[in-house]
Amino acid sequence: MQKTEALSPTEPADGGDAQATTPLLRVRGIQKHFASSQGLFRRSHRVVRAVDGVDLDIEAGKTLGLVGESGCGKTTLGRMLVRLDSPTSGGIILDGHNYGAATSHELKQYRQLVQMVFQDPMASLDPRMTIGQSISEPLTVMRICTKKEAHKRVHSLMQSVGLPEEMANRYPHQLSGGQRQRVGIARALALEPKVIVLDEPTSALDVSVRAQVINLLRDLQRDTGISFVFISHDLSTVRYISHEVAVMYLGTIVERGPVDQIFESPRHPYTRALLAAIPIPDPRKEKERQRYVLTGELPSPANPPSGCAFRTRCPIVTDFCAESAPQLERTEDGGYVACHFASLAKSESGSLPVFTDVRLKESIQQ
Amino acid sequence: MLATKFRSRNGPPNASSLNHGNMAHLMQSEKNTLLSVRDLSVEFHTARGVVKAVNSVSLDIKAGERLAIVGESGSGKSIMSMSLLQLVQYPGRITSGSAMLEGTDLLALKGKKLRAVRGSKVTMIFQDPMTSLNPVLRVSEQLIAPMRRHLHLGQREAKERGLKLLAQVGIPDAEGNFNNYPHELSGGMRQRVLIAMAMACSPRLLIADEPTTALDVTIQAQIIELLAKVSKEEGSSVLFVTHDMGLVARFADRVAVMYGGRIIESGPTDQMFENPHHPYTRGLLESIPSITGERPERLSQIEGTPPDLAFLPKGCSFADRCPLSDEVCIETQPASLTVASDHTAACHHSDVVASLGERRLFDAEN
Ligand SMILES: Nc1ncnc2c1ncn2[C@@H]1O[C@H](COP(=O)(O)OP(=O)(O)O)[C@@H](O)[C@H]1O
Ligand SMILES: Nc1ncnc2c1ncn2[C@@H]1O[C@H](COP(=O)(O)OP(=O)(O)O)[C@@H](O)[C@H]1O
Ligand SMILES: [Mg+2]
Ligand SMILES: [Mg+2]
Repeated sequence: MQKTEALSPTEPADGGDAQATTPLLRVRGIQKHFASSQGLFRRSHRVVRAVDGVDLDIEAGKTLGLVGESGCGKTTLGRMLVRLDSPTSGGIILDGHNYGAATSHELKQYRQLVQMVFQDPMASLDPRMTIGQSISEPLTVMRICTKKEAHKRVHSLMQSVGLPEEMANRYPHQLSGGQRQRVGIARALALEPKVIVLDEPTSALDVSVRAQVINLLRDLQRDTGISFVFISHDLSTVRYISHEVAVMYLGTIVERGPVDQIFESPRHPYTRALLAAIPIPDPRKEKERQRYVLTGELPSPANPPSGCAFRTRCPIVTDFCAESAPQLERTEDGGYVACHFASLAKSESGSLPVFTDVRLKESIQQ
Repeated sequence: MLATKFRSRNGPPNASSLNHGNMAHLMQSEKNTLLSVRDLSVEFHTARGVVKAVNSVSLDIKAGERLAIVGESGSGKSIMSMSLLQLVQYPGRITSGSAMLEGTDLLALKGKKLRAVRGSKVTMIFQDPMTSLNPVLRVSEQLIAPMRRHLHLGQREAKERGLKLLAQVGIPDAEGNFNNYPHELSGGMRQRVLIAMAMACSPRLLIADEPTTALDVTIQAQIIELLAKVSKEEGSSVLFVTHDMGLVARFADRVAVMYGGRIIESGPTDQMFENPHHPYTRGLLESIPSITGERPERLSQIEGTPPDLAFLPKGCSFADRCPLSDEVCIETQPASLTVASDHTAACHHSDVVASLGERRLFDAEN
């Protein structure tokens, strides 16, 4: 099992360096274990370690990108961040207050400050409510203001997400996918939160509409100083919108750091494999590229491999990796990586990382 | 036969089937046209009126060539590809056109002859593998049946070949998985089974409609690599529907862009990316954030929405979203013209688009 005591809830994640800012939202050692009810017999009951000890920092006014294959625990982590689900253990510290095991009163306060936008806006909007009603619902439910005031707020919210006013009386099915996602964002903005967790907000949208939503998010951040946690498997969008990026694998963060460092000199073999898998919309680059295709699939979080979770698919795996789980450790360029052999994985500067198992294996053997 | 052409799956990672030099793999096979589609139109008669889902589409696919069809959702990609196998359901109707494949018009085939072509000469795989897999039949039964029917193999031979195919498409424990039901497999594994089924009878043409859209980038990379490998080894042509320009760059020899049920531009992949002649193609490329290089303050976005196929305008269907549109565009529908060798575009201002160079056509402003 992976220990996460390396960082206590009071310690800044940068290891106490002379950084002036304290992160707005800090997550320490957060876990979510589900009881899996697979099989008919009791002995086959297993614990699904969907999120298994995650530390994160979200800075005010910044975007943290969260990437990883489906099933690695991104949504579960996101739902805990907005406290739709309670963590099995661990701390969530917002502005200095720990909400990890908050009372219902504290929770109400917290949920106002941290909101969520879902991938499928159709599923998250009530089909019987008009757009206006959907957007004003959080305001009236939380008794923030009167119905009349809420009505006014709806119009300014719709304006800020680029929806025409007259759309307030329409129903979700009468809107396009992009418009519905704008409604989802307006609704999340209603309570003036400090953080919005966006779970694959553009995955269901066409490229041209995706650009509109991304531009909208950038504008909102610039104008209001809001923070985002942007969950996505669209890595080029993640690179565009994020300041920091965290890479998740089987319930844990295997690498995190400033966006350029993750994309230009990734250390973890999994990060490298993910980047190598993204097709680049440029045929010339695609032809020149050496491609490392990650084999196999994500192991089951109910039965994770011993030692390093990535070892079953890792091109530079050694016997040692099965024995010992690597901890997230600070790299000299300001990131964190959990790999025993991360220092071997430095890439040629500038270019997209080339990743061939042959070469890395040779360098280990030397 | 497929089986003899496959070699070990454990070749060096950079020996990619996708790293073809400029269509080098075409050199061995004849460079003649395999499929020639002319003036294909598909209509849906609905209460709202006649929906012109496919509008006089013409395209050619050479033997062994990989053609990508791109465009936003609702542009007619699926209906166009399904119509080639007469798979469009009522109220959809093919109203004109021909699709000549080795001397046979696919659109004129009926009954027994049609069934003989489907599943052997021309096969199709879809985004959701469950739509083409029978949930109550084991993988083995679904794989064996078409080989017995089309290749007239005995039960033993068909089983043997089925097992080989599963191993060749990278399914671990082929024996074990052979007797599984589709729901017992992961999404990536189901797509592999479908590819095995589609390749079982060595088709001349494989139609793949967004085969990786529902998969993770890592699994997507595996599936694309696999599709490239099996089609190359079988000499099959591939018609590949996608909305991911990165995948186009990686996979396709040629690209056709669909908009409002028409092909508005088509050409060799390199040319289409380097020197697009249609504003819509240009807009698609501009709106994708780059995975390397600069991050612009805002992304280019194409304003507005695609045309209503029940009420297509008399002029260019992109005119209301196009920064270059003028009176001519609104009045007359642009004909598809040859703009370079093997490269056509349907735009009154294609010369302007082609001369843009580094400048952006689509404003990033709201
Ligand atoms: N309510 C639940 N009960 C049991 N297992 C769950 C539950 N929710 C998620 N899981 C499991 O937790 C893991 C992580 O899921 P999820 O957070 O949805 O991943 P992602 O969003 O990265 O695709 C998966 O293996 C999933 O099956
Ligand atoms: N059953 C149907 N009834 C009416 N119109 C349909 C039907 N199926 C498809 N269409 C129309 O055909 C158009 C093209 O659909 P499709 O080929 O599925 O688009 P794509 O694959 O490019 O997303 C859609 O915009 C839709 O208007
Ligand atoms: Mg998820
Ligand atoms: Mg489609």
